[in-house]
Amino acid sequence: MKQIAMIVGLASLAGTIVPPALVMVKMMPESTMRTMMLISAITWFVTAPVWMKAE
Amino acid sequence: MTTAEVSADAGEAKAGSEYERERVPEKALKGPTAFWGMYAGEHTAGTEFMIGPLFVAWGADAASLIFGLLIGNLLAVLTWRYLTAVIACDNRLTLYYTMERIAGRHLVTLYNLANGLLFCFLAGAMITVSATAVGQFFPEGTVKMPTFESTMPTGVAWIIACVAIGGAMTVVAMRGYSVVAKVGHFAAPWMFLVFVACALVTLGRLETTDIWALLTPTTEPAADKKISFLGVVCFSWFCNAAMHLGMADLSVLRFAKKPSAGWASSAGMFLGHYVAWICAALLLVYWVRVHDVDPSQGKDPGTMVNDAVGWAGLACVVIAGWTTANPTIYRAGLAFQGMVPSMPRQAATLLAGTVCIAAGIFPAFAMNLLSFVGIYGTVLAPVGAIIIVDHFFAERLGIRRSPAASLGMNFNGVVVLSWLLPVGVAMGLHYSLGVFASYLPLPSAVACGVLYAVLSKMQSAAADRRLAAG
Repeated sequence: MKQIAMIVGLASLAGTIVPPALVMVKMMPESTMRTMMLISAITWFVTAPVWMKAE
Repeated sequence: MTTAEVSADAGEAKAGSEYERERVPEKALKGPTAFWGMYAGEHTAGTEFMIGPLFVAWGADAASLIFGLLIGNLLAVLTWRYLTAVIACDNRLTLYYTMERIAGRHLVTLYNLANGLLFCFLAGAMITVSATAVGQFFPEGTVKMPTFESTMPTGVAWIIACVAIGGAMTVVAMRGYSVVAKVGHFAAPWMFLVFVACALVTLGRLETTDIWALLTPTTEPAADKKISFLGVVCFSWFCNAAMHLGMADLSVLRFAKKPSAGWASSAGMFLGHYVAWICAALLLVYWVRVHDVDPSQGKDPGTMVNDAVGWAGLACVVIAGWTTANPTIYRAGLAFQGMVPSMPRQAATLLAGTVCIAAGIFPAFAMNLLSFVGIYGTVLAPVGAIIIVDHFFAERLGIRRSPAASLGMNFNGVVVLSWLLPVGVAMGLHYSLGVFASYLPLPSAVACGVLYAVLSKMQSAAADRRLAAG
């Protein structure tokens, strides 16, 4: 469970930074980036507490 | 150690359970990981969205932002590593107990007042920043956004937004903030990426990756330039002067196994106070170049971040403001409670929250953040200089270590004079002559340390004479 949460969590971090990079090089429209970033943010906050140690 | 616990220690949170009046024992020491995470999280705050654009508004050039911030942040890390962490690991006592042993119990009350009020103004600035994000969720014009030149509330809707956000933060702080602190811990890597995302989108829109050219002001370097290379260096070195030179982080780093834990501050400095500031600065550069916004008027963080990355960015502004304002309100409450120990902690936190909300309603604090953090450091850093003299030089100079504890004093007048004289002069220089506040923490601290050494020498000689006379 933790491993799955970690993989999904790390993917959501990628989903936060890759779309803006693609927008920068004009390979993605801004509207798609905004949606992906929002979904990634929600996914991150759902998965991070499962695997990230609070220490 | 969780972020919550670290932060709570800093405010003397868990009375009777966190070694507030004794050395931290070996078994309670923590490895470096906790400190790296804590510093990274604490220094990626909502106010970073203000500071970067304010540099642009003040006319900072590319060299200042790229090299000045690098040097200033490096100096801050070195101060944490070679002063704060060394004293913390040698003594393993909180700032408050260390101060009590040097200055006496009653004087710590005065320190708590200064500390509590300054914390309130800082949290107020974070409420202001968060309110700019919340305003974006309402139809345009509903909540009128403040500009960099705003000092007064922009309208009833603005006041309601600040009261709602500040009230929610205060209620959470009153109930204890461990959940919010955990959210802050989890949010740290995501928040940092949102800052970078804002910069990437901005670079794409401006169709260049030449950050040097973008950070070079388009107007002639003349009258509008309010901050120099040295100003940027000093700002980034001393914006957390209360924590490193002022020794507030003794309360945190006393749990470190080795002074090398002081290097963990570099996570906060170089991610939060270097990359994030530059990313936030690029947001205003875009609005100046494309939307012809007057840099001196600026643009509120909520509007800029919403425009760049949408709702994820707005969530970042709110979460970044919330997770840092919350422990700040909590600490301010503890500082007030320290002054009136009979006051329940919740009442003290409510008092602190009310002051924070009042400060947040007035954009003057957030919009003058570059000056405010300098004043914050100037008032509190000299206290650290007294601790440095007591720790490193007392025996060499032949003065008593921890004089209040050894002489049974509740109020050490030498500390009051040494602290308040340089601070008074510094405040005079700032308010009368307009000296940039970030230039003042270091001279104030040095003057305070020298005064303390000289006056303590005289105090020790007089005490010895009295003892010899019987």
